[in-house]
Amino acid sequence: MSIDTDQLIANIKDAASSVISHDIAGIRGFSDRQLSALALQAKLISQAILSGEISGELRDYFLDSLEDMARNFANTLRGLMTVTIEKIWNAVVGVIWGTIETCTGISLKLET
Amino acid sequence: MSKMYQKAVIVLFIALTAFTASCVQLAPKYDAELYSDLTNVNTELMELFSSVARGTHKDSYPERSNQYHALIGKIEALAMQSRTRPVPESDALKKINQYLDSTSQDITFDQQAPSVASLQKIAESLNRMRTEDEDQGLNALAVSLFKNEVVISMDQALTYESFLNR
Repeated sequence: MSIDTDQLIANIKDAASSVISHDIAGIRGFSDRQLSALALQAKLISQAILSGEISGELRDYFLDSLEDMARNFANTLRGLMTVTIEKIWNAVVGVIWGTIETCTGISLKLET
Repeated sequence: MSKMYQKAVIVLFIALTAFTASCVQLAPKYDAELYSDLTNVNTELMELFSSVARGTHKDSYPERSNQYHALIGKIEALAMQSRTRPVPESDALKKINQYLDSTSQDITFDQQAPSVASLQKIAESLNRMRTEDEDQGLNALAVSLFKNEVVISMDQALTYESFLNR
């Protein structure tokens, strides 16, 4: 029995798309929340500076913090992408190995 | 986001060509206890912010001192718990990072869970808020600023930790 490569490609695409479509919804929601909250923080800092409600020292702290939080946001996005890449990889390998097993009748144990 | 996903596709390609055919684990395992502790401490944090939402006077700081210290201690313990988890497949991430470094793009992947930095930021925010409360008291706007900092960082930590449940 030979492998139907067109079907294999379609199955790989389905497996990858399924992971991406599920994960991207979560990542988009997270991004939207973070961007809104960071924008609100910038607005509150401006408001506090204009009204003189925070000291110069506290103003500098909040401005530095905003930068730190933006960096942590980017790093978190990177972390989420790492998880997504891992899931795509395992899904793709699962499809390929499953196809070979079906074709050859040989059990290929995936290393975990 | 689309650019980031293009980069993700590139990284996936590298992974496909660079590694042996096996299941990989690039991020730490999900820690249900850590996630549960995070949600609990988040509730306590919001209780603190609710109690000081209208601002504080430094004279009443001693009433809040223990609450601040307890929360800072819990957050720092959670950051340590997240940091000390084993990160598998470090060689795999090294190979991906080597490729990304060679492309001169500043998008290398950290070995450390990003929730560690987010939790450390929460501890820093609370420490600063506590100092300000003790020295001068806090007005309502300053409380809102500190609260939003904690909300941003906690969202980062909670989202990442829940994402590990795959």
